[in-house]
Amino acid sequence: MLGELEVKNISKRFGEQDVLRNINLKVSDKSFTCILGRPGAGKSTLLRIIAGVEEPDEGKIYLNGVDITDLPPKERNIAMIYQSYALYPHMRVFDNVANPLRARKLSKDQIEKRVTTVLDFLGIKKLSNRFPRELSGGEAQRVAIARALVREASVYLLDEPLTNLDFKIRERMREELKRMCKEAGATILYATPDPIDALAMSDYTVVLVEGNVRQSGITRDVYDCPADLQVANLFGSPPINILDCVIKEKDDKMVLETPFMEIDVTRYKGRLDPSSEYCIGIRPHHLMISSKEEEKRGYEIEFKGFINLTHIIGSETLCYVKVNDHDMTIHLPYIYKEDI
Amino acid sequence: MKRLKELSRILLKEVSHTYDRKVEAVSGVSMECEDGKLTAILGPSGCGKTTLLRIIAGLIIPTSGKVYFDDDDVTRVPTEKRNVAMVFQFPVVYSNMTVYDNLAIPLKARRIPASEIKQKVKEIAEFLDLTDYLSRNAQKLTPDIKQRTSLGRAIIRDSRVLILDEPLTNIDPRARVELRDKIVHYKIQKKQTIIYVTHDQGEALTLGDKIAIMKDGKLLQYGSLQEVYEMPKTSFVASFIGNPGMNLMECEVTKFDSRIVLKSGDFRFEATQNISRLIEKRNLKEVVLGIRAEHIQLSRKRLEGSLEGECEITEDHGNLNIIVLNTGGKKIRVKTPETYKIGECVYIVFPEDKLRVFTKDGYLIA
Repeated sequence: MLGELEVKNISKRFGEQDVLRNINLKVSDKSFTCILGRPGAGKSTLLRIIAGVEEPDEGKIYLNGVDITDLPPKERNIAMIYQSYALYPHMRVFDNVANPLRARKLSKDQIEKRVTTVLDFLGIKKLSNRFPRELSGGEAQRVAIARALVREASVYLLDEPLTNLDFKIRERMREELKRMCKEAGATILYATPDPIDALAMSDYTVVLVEGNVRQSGITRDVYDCPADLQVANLFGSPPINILDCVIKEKDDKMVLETPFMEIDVTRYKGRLDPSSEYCIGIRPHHLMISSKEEEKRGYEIEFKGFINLTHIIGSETLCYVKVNDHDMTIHLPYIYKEDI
Repeated sequence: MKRLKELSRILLKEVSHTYDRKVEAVSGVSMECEDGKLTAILGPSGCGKTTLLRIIAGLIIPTSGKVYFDDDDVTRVPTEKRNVAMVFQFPVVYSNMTVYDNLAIPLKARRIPASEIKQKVKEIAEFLDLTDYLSRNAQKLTPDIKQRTSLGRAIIRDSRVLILDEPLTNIDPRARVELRDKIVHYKIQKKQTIIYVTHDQGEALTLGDKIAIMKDGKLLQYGSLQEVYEMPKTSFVASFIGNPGMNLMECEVTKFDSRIVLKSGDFRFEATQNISRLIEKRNLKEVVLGIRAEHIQLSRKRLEGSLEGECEITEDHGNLNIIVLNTGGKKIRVKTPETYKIGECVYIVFPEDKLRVFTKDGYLIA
């Protein structure tokens, strides 16, 4: 089912507060788009407006070129999955999933077939007869996804579906959601505060800051070239390291002076204004460590620091390093543990 | 903060516990928690880790087995006589009391002079960044301040053993990182015997000097980070630890000439000499082949002994990609700095020293 969605000039106020300001957004068919933003950025409100459970103050929503702004949610062919799952507690898994089809008066055989296919696709067929209270968080989430998927909607809206799940399950679910988009040909709009969700799953990312679209584009482009410090900070886990610096001109060379190192920027000479202030950002995974001082490896930028703490995340390590008085984070792609 | 003088080693001998004569929550667990070290007990929900911790704390008398603190058999000694301090998943604070009084309570009960109490509370409050909250009503604070207060009340006692039951699970992610770091610093400075229960492998691997992994009431493995990561004794541990977990492939053992070939659907893997010998020695008909995602080597050209795979899913993780490859119907996760396209053909090499082999029921043989 074709799922081309367009959001045009959407604005929404709650009382005195602008929740969304003039949002424009295009989602192409069978694509995976993430709306990335902190809690309170307006992500949920935007999804709710697209789903039709909230009305915009201004602007229009188009689905496959048709204006659906005034259609009730049921007639929009858009399915929404909430963070809280919102399963019916008195219904078994099968009935929870079958519910949207029953409302549409499909035959019993059709319902049975469709529900079984979807449960099978998500690997939860064996849970058919369980009640929601008998499910783990990950299982409940899959049931909620199944209930949305069974509708064969044009667009699926997911509002932080992985936030409440633990690490191990989140990892599996990311893969499954991506498979759902690629193999089931679903068009997905996914709201999340987690940069890894956006990086790992989405084709496109829209960064929402205080109700404004701050940047949007191909996910990797947004990640590699953040438009400003706020986007750089938001779109990185752990957050990007930021250092204030000044420009010094020495002879015909130009250097950036940070609190503990100098970087030769002669090649950017025409683009930097020596009288302005600058920051540099280095992503934690672009830094490496070496424990031996003599082992200078000939990189352009090297500095000395002390490891304060290490945190192992699965197969990787975050090192929190003190460099003079500055805290830097380094993300190593392997397990590193100092013997204490 | 000073190091503790009195330390306790904890020894569990064949500890089992059955609730209501029906459900065996802990079954035959033997382990030694070294003094002055942090032992992390890790496992999925329902694995028996909380029951085991309650047995150590003295809140439950096990159906069978013994618990020793140093050489003292404490199996039937009630909690209040064991000198253990506990912090629970949900913060416990005394309502209508200030944070100061919450911290001071264990010392007041021991009739310690007021000046000493004041000094001790000040020290603990500073360490846990609670100084600004000392005169506030503890009940009215955020969950993470409450949890810091609970932790403060537990550590102010200088107890023989400190028991932490998922202390970070119910507080928000930012505060969780801060409190975890406090625990790391506390552990380093104090050298107390600490038992830390969690379902989060990151916490267990970061904090634990040794890690105990439990499932279905059984202790599957107990060892250092390196041991559980590099040499998981069971396939469950292999898949539970790591991000992503170890790739596991169930295979039939078949013979081609005199060589051993592991087979599953269209997947074929010629076993190395070393592995072949072990399989033959045990006369195994089926095995599970295991390899970690970051140890798999990929190439766009065919290499000797390489398997051919198709890239099905790619996930960008900033520095690395996690890609799912289909090779002869098997799905393999690989971590690589290289970028591959969906549908692209990729050649896969498993380095011999990184391969692990398990029996069909999941026990490590090589």
